[in-house]
Amino acid sequence: MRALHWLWKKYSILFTTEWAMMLAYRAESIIWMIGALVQPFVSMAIWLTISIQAGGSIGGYNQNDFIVYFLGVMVVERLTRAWNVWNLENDIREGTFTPKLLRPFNPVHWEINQNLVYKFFYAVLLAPTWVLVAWIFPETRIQVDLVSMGWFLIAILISSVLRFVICHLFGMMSFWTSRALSMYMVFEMLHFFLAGRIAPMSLFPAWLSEMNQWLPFYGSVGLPVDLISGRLMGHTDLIIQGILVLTAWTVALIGLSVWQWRAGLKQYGAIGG
Amino acid sequence: MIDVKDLTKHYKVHVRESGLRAALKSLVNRKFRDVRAVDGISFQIAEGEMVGFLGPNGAGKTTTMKLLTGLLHPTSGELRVGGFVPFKQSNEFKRNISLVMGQKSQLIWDLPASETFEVHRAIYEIDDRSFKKQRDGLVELLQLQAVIDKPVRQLSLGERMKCELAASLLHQPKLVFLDEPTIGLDVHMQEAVRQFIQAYNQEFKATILLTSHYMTDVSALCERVMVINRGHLLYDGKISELISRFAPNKRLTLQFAPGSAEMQADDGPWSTWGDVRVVRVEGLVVELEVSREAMSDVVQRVLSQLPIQDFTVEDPSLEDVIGQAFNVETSKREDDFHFNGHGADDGDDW
Amino acid sequence: MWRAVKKYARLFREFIRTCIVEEMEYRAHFVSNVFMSMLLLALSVLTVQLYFYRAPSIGNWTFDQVMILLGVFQALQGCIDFYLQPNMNRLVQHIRKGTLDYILTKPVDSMFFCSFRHLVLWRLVDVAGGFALVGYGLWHGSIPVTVWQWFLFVLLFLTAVAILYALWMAMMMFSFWAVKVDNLSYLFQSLFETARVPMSVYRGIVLVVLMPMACLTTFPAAALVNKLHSQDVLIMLGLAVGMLVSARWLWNYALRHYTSASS
Repeated sequence: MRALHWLWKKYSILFTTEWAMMLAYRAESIIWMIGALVQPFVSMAIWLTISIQAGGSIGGYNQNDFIVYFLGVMVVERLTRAWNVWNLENDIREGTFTPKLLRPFNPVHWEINQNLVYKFFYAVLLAPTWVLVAWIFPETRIQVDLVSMGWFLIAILISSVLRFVICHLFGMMSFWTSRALSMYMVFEMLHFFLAGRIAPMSLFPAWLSEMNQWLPFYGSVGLPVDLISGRLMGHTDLIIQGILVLTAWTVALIGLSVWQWRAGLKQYGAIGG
Repeated sequence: MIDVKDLTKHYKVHVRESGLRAALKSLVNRKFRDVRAVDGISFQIAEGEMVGFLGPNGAGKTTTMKLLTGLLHPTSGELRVGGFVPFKQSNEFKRNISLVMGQKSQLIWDLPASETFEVHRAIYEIDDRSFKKQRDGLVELLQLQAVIDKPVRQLSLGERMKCELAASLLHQPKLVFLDEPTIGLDVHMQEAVRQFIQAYNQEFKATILLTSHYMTDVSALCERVMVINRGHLLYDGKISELISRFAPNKRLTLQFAPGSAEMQADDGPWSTWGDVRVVRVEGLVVELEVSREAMSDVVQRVLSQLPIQDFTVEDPSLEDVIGQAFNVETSKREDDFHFNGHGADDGDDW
Repeated sequence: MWRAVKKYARLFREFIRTCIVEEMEYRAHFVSNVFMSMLLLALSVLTVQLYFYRAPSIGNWTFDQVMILLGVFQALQGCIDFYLQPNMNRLVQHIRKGTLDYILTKPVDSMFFCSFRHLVLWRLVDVAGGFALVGYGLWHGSIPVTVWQWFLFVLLFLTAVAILYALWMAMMMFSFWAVKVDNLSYLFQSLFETARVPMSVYRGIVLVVLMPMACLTTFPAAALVNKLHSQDVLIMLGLAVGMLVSARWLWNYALRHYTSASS
């Protein structure tokens, strides 16, 4: 109980500190956000073109659906993204990790709070923006019930944890190799291709989307987008399957990262930082 | 070589206030502050002279150097360097000068200094024969044989500085600007760099302008010094005169042997020695200010009459001399910094 | 004139030489860098294949034609990473640390020095990969190309490189005004991503905004696949000349007003 109390205290302090730091870089944060919106936007433009050519709809998506889908991608991408691999890699390479290890507090808590701060910032920016856009352009409105909304929030939460852990896993690779960032880049490319960021799952070849149901990619972006856009309304079985796969990956990778953290510290101690 | 008349450089500095309200207000109504970095300076420097620039940070030394190297446009005044107008930045002019900044490196960090030499050879279009001759001469003079083929990042600060000097002198500039060339170096290295500068000046008859925080740099190298503060030239002349004018006294510190009676400021034996002033008495340590002429006499008396364990004679630090100079000459210039508000149409805030 | 050309050619050669020596320090990374490049290229091809899995053409461009366009994009991206990106970061450093003074007191054109001093040579692999993709598209689609079309392609590609250079330099100039340019370059890179696909994908106001980016890849590729209008060439050439001239002007303007960091 006492430990929990202290954790809460630490977290509120970390959060406010990181919030102040983020505000100092708010212009950059907004630029990064705008930059990140370009990719889904290009995909949207392409699929709109294709669906017009196909006479209005393709693979069960009409133009409206595509617009909503990629708006969803923009929001979900920002709300589940993690960046800690850069910090970790930099800290370990530059040797600034050592002082952080000396504190009686796992450095990961800083990363978690920084992550939360940015997500909070993006949520505060993006949610009202979407509301405003939906008010002006009816095409961008979503029809979704409260149950899907609830599932959406759960999916976002788990996906955030998953993507954070994956980032952490790759960042910790820096204990062994100087190419950790490159390795993460390869993963990120796969994620970009398979997570539904360039197209809804149903537009992929059947074997690929079939396989993808069991991989950690679809669940981290495609599933939340499908939930918020109302695609999965009434398909409780699909929702539960998606959430279960996502959770299983998350738990497994957290386990892996705990093991890796211990091995990494040993390695770090062996080479003397 | 250098001819400067009524040179001034004024900056407009955008005054930033903290807070969101002030930030918004400054969008419409920007406040500017005029900074007179150089304010009406005139001097001449002949070929082959070595001149030291003295003055505290922000006094205008660096701005003057930048005006002389053509990095800045003067606000007004006349300026000729080697027959050129510096700020026109002609390549002929640049081939004749060189700039070395002790705090800023121009060597390629990951590579041996010899690689930077090659780049400079291409930049200055140095022909093979004179390049080889000059490079070997500099390497010899600076004793860089073991150093120039090691990556720069592995060199010590002093070795790096020597390489900087070599790199910037490959094209045999007639005029060399040295901005704090010995900063951060240990005493040994400072001395080595100093000797090199001296030797270079004699061998190539190059004109050398030097700024430094270290009094010894300036007093060892330059016969002539210029003291600049708040954009004004306070003193231009021989260094010996500067010292005798602003700091005619030396400082004598006496450490008495343990067990001797505690000294009193007023009734020490020195009260009868004439040109001596007590600065500080602390237990067994006494600090005296003694004029240069009286020093040897006083030291003799101290040694023969007092039970001392140790004593030191120091020149006043550069800070002290300069501080003296400013107290004397600058207190009347307080109003030089003034604020004025401009409308937004006054344009950019450089 | 000839002497100046010779001097700058020699200087450029010297830059390349030092960059090779510099990169030898990190030669262990070369293989993995090239591997990464190839993987990235493969993935962008896969992405295009996904689009064409559902459609025979996109905005009247066939798969092979889009491959050619993607090749042009890749080659231009390679050029950015080869000499624009690395020098941009260096300029910011030079201004922050005040080492720009060294460059300005040297008898060499400062814009030339600041644009080409640092070259990331292995990025030329990307340029080569891009051209290979162009070749693949031509071969796979059995697209006939006349000598005139080749000429136009080369001309427009070089024009695109020039426009990119001018755009990038204009961005770099902001570092004189103490804006954090690293972020601007990120924004630029993101916007350049929109040039991965044919211009005909965009419509309305979006097309107007993205036009300058999109035409960089669309026009050179269009020259090879016979979709080029003669006014396109004129637009590109005019744009390139105008932008190069204004970049030069802006550089001089920024320098005139440059006051070093320490003053």
